[in-house]
Amino acid sequence: MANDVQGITGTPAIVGARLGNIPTAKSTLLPAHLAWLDTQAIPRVKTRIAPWIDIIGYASRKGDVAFNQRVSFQRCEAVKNHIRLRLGQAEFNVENAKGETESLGDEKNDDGYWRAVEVYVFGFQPPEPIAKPTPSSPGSRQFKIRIRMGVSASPPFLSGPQGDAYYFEVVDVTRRLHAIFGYAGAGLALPTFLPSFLSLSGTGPYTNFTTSRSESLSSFDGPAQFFGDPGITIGPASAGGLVRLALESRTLVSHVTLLNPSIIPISGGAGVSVTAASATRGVFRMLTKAVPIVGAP
Amino acid sequence: MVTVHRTAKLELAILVVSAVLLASLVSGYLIVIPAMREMIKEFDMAVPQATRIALNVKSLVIVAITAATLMAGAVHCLRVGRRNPALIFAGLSLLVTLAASTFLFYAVSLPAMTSVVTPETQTPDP
Repeated sequence: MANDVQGITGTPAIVGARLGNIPTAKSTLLPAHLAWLDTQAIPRVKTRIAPWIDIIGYASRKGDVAFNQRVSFQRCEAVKNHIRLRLGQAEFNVENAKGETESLGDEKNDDGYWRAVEVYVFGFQPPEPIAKPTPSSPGSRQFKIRIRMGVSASPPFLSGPQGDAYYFEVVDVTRRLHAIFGYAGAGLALPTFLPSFLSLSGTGPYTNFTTSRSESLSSFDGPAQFFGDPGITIGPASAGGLVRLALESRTLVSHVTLLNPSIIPISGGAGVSVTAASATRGVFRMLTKAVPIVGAP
Repeated sequence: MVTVHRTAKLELAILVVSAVLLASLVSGYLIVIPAMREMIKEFDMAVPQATRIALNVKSLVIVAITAATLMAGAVHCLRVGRRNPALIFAGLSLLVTLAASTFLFYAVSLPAMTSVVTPETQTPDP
């Protein structure tokens, strides 16, 4: 006895089957036929580019030739209607109702093998998605910083309050970009013996620092703390007086990016200053666009 | 009648402080202002009007001459024994240098306080 669904291999089709045992003189598809169409044929039609379906209808030799021709066509139509019901629209390239022309046996043969429809699904495999290039890191992990100029002010005779206004050049070493950052903050200072009011610093040397993740220059924009070590500077001569910068921008915090060193020690340039010790809190702002470095930084 | 005799220590102290302030102000112009000008030129920074005034050498010359004149006047008065005018001159010189120093600090810190962030994404690739 023929199977209700018999897979067909060895053809160029993606999937093919002979749906047999359709009731005699009828075109009603069996549950097994519908299941195969729903689970094997239709999903493949959906996932292929420009798919099409070929349908070949058959009939057993029992009965009138013309009737068998008609019933094989109706069996093809039954398959088409079911697929259209599921997909809405589909491309049927071949619909060939062969009637009993290829059926074997005598005039009374009613073998279920011949009461059948062959269904073939064709289509093209979608190309593999093109791998997108990995986006290059938007920043760098190697930076350096130097003071371009800075002024600290602490009122004479009033020991305690201090204001800092410093300008730093921060260099993205990897991408060879640099930008100016300004720090403005207020805090406290230990009194000094010289009531100089202003402590001044010119352009100093670079200090290298790294970040645990790639960051752009604008990532450093945000709150910061600024510390002044004890020291004295008169012109180019200097003893002590390092400044230390702790960057606490929201971007760095949200990226969980750590700086090494966490508090960056920076030497000042030529200037005039007498500092006992100071600590201020303020904002480290990116004041200019990051521009390419021309020549050696 | 009670006569109060006071020494010239107060006037001298004020004069010393004024002189130190003036020295730091002048050194500020000599050291910091050229560095700031170079930075502004290199990065094409926009600076507020107050900063432009502070960066002008004429401002320093005016302040320095005024303060030095007042200090010279105070010294002269001290020499001739006129302490009250000496105190006034010394006080005025202190006020002038203090005001000029405050203005310099304000003007220098102004760009750092008022400039807006420039996101790096707007910059061209090198």
